Amino acid sequence: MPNCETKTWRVLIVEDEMLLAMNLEDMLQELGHEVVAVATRIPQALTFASSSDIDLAILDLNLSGALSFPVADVLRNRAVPFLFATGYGFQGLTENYRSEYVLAKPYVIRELEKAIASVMTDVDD
Amino acid sequence: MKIDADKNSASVKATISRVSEKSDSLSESKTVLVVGIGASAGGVEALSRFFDAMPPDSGAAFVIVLHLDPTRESQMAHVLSSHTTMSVLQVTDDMPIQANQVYVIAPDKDLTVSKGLLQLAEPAESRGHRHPVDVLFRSLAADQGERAIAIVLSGTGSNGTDGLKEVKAVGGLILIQDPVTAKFDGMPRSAISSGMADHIIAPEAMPEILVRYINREYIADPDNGETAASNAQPAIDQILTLLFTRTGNDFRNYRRSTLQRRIQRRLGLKNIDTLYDYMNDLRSNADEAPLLVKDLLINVTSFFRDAEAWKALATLVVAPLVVARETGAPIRAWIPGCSTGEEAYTLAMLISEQAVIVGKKFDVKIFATDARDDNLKIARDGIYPAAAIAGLSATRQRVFFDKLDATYQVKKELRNMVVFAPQNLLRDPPFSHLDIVSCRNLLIYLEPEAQQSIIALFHFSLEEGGNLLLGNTETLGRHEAMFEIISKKWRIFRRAGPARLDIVNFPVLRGTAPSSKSNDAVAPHLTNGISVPAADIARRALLEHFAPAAVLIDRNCRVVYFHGSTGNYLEQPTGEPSKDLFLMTRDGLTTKLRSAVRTVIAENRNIIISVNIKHGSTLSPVQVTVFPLAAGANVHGHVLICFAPEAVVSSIPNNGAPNNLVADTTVQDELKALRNELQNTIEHLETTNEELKASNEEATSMNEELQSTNEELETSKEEMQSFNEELHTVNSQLQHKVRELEDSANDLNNLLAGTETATLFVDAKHCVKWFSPGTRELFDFIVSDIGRPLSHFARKFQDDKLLSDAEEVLRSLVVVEAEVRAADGRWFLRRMLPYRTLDNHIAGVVITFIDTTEHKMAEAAMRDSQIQYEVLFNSIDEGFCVLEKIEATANSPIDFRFIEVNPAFEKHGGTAVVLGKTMREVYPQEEQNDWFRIHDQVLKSGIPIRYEQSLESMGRVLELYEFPLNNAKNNRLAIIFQDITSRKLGVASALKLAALVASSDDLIASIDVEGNFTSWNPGAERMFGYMAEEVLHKHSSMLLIPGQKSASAQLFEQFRSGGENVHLEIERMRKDGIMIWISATCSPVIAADGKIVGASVIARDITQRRRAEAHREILVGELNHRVKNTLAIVSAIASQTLTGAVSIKAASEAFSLRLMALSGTHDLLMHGNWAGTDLASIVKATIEPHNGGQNRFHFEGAFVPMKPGLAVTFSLALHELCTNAAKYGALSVQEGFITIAWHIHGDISKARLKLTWTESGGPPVVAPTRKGFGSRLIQKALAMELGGEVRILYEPTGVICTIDAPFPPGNLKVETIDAKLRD
Repeated sequence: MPNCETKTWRVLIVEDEMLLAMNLEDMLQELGHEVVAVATRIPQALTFASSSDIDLAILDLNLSGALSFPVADVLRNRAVPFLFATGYGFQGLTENYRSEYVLAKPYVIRELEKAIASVMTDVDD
Repeated sequence: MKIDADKNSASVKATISRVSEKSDSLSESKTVLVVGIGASAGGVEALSRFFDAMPPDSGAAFVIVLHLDPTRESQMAHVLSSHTTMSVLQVTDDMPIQANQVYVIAPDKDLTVSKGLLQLAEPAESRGHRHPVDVLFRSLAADQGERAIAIVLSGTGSNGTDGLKEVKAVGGLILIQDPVTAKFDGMPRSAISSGMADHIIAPEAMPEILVRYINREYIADPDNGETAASNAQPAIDQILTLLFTRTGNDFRNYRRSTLQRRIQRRLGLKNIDTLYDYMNDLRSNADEAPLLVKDLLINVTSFFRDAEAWKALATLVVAPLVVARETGAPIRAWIPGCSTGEEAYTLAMLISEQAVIVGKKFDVKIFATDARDDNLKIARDGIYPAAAIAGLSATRQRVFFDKLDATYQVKKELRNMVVFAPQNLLRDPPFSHLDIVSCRNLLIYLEPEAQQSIIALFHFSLEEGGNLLLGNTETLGRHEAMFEIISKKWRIFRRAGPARLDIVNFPVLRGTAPSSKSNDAVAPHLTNGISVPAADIARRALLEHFAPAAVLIDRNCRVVYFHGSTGNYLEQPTGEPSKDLFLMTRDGLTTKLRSAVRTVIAENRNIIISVNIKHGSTLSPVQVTVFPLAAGANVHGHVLICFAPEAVVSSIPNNGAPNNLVADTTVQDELKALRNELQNTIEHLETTNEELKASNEEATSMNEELQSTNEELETSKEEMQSFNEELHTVNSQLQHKVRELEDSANDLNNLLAGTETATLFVDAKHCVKWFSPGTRELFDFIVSDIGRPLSHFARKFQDDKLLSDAEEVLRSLVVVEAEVRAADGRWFLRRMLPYRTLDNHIAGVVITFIDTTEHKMAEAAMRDSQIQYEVLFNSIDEGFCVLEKIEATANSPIDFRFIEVNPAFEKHGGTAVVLGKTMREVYPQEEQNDWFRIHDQVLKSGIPIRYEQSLESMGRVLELYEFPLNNAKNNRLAIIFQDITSRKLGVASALKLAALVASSDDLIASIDVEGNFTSWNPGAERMFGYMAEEVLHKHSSMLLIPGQKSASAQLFEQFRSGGENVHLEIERMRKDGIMIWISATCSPVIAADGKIVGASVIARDITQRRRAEAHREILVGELNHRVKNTLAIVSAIASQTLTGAVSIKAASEAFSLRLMALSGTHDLLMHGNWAGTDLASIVKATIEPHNGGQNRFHFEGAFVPMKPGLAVTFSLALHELCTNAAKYGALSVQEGFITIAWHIHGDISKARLKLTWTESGGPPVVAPTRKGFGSRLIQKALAMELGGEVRILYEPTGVICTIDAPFPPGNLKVETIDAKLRD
């Protein structure tokens, strides 16, 4: 349920598991956000990350064995907020990315909402 | 060269007539120069070099004598012909000599040259004693004379040297190979040492000199040279004068032709063309004059030269002489021109030998004289090279010579017989009373006049019956009559007849000026005194004024003194001045004075007479008093005659007329007196006459006597001169001796002073005779103390027995030694020994004091070190022994004896009693040999050896160190040894351990406290790739990965704080840069003193294990991830199922079914180890629950690989289709059937997968009104997953689902999902 003050964010999903992507998409729609694109592979994700008009990105850490840090780097450069959704949890992150928000899989819609709120608060300020 | 023209004709004639050939070659030999060449070992090379340089047309013939093997044919001629174009021939007997030919001696022959022919003879001497070169040179000298040319080349021994003397004697040319260039320098050196060489040069340089020499006029054509020389007479004279002034040698009496030739020879040698040039050279070059003199004074001599002549002398002269002469009597001989003394010694030997035969001893005195001092010096020393005495018999060598190194010295007895002195026969006085004069080959060099005067001189010198020995070619000339011939052949003559002083042209005495002493009678010593007392002056004045004139005469009436004016009474008559009184008396005085004097002498009384002396016409009466003087010291029988004028009263005019009677009486008296006087005079005259007659007789005989005396004196004078000469000679000998004695006295003084040995000589009465300076430390001596008794001196040392010992030495003649202590604490060894004179007479005692303080101290030190040695010897823990070698003999092999054995010997050596035994006695046979070999090696090499020896007989292993003791005999060695049996065992286990370390796969290494590697095993090498040598002594940090810190310091920290085994798992870097993990266990290495000196490290490579662990961790993480992912999917499915659920029951059922499908796929993926699966398997697994045990499905298609993610999506999608079919489609009725078919289209690059799901037999299909989870999953998720298109057609016959996707599936194209999601 979107809060009245909740804005609609344009979101990039990077997730290789289509069911999860679909579910996430549903959750985001439910929260009132717009899913701009779903990328299942790193190259694809990089393209979206660097060129799409997005407010937020949700990144699966492991895309068929490849880590999504390069995508995170691109987003950092563009100052686009992002969060990691990963089954590895916090431990899967390398030193550089420990400061980023991590959403541990599996998660429920409230957790997602809270995560987005947390990430996007910084942007509001 | 005219010889060339003759050459052919000569050889032609040679075939015709032997006689004519001989005469022909005889004339030819005058012109063909013969060069004799002697060589031996190394000669072939020298000859080759000589002939390489020798022009073939020199005009000379070369005769070569070599030592050839008598048993083999000589190849010499062949060898030499390759070095010269001259023809080279081996000599056959009577071969004529021709110019420009080379002749080589035949083996085993003597080769001589005679009258232009080469002659071969069987060697006279046995093989080994032959001197064929000498033979050649001698014959060359005899045949060719001064034209002889001799060359000595390389060789050993002295062959040729004797022959060269002959060549030198005739004035030939002598070339000798420079010993430096000779392979064997024996022959050249021998020849050079004889002083014969004209040139000493390399063989290749000889031809140039030869050619130059050959081409000189007097050599090429001697006769022509002679005539030319006569023109040069003035020049020769000048040269001789120059020589006389320069060197004092007078050659003006020498034979001109000889002088000429010798001088020409010098010209030839110096390559000077004219005599005037030579004279200039002589003036300017100080060296030339002595050389010329040397050439002119030929000294060719040797022991028993012309042995036959000496034999003749021995039998004909010496033997009869010694028989005739009494023992002890002198035998005197003279050898003028003795040269270097060989002839003089030869004569001395002969006389000695003959004397021994008859058993007598003689005072032999042989005067040997020569003009050259250098020769005399050699002669006096009497030292000759071995070659010089080689010709003597062994007996003579032994009896007459002492061997000094390589030379021989004539024995002292023989030398004492010969007196050498400088003397010039032509200038100096001769010796006299000689028994033998030997003057051989000297006269031939002199002009005939000089020869004759010398022969006369010899005649004088010889005793009556003395013998003269001349050279072979010398004769007595016109003095033949004065000698009796003893042997014509050997020129031995005997003096006959008395000395003939008339013919002896006695040389003036040289040396001292004539004596200034006058032999005239000395006048009485009555000269005017200069300092006389006053009385004498007065007396003399009175005498002069008042005394009468007087004259003093001696008994012979000779005036010895005039006093006053005697002119009135005496006057000197005309003629020679005379002292005879009666010749001086004036007229009237003579007669009376004579009788008065006679009376006075006879009767010894005064007589006064009165006489009238006529002075012109006047008569002066004079009273003459004659009185004898008393005999005194200087006067005996002198008579003084005083003249006093009488008064004129009694003068004639006054007593003329007055009294005739008186006058008559006076006349009568006077007459009477006159008559008496006359009578007296007559008597006296008669007596005198008688006396005179007798005197005459006497005088005549006296004259005779004087005559003979005179002659005797003459002779004596000459003898005196001879004697004087002899004395001169002896004096010079004595001076020589004195100098020698001075030298030896100096030497002795220096020796005694230098030895620092205080030396003291005392005589038999203990009086000091001499003391060395060092003695002053012991006695208060000053120089004037010599002669004082020793007991008078205070001693600076404690010695009570000094005098008694001296007594003892004198008595027993044994050496007495004692140690005495000086006041200053030093010790002296006092030795006393008898002082022996040369004639072995004991003349006192020699006392020496040798400072032994240091010796004593050294002795003490020695004792200390001996004690130390003994302590060491006895207490060292190692076994120690000294062995002495016992040389092998015929019946016993080599062995070693134990000389010293220390107590530890038994402990290590295992054997108790070995001292004094030999090794063969102690050890079994098989153990000895090694030892003997080692011992021997140590002794021989002098180098110590350390070795191990296993003693199986005792079950021990010894380590031995063996070294030579370097004692005088070099037969002792010492051994230090140790039983190392247990150590050996330790070593064996250490070896095992080492093998273990070496073979271990683990790293086993050690480091020191600094962290440097000290060992590194092969396991370590394999582990790190570093070889031991790359690692050892390097710091362990070399294995660190960049950025790591060394752990060694911390390790030792841990050890020090009590850690023992420290386990580490660390990552390190290999040599090739690969990092490895090792598990290491480190332990401290602790030294005997408890200090940690290092660490040992054992490590194992655990990289594999670490990798497996990492892999497991990854797997766990992955599993976690997958589980989480799967849970996320389940969550998503749940969420999706529940979202559109109509009832809980339906939702629950759908959810269960969906989970089952998921689970089935997971099963499938599990089997494929999550690597993926294939399409058919997914289809089969997914449809299985929906099949219901019947064949409701048909599927077929190609093999399509599916990745896990895609497999899950595909399976879920298929499940949704099945669920849909079961609800509404073909599976909802019994007859319904579903076909799933797929295939791959297109080529590889653009391949596509096409799949068709076709339902049939089911109820009619209507499209659903809303899209549920299933259709979203199929149409959106699967399409995206596949990257293709998925369509669902709701055909009335049944649902048809088509998939068209790229092959292989999963490579999704980039598409905006927007569009798809919106579809």
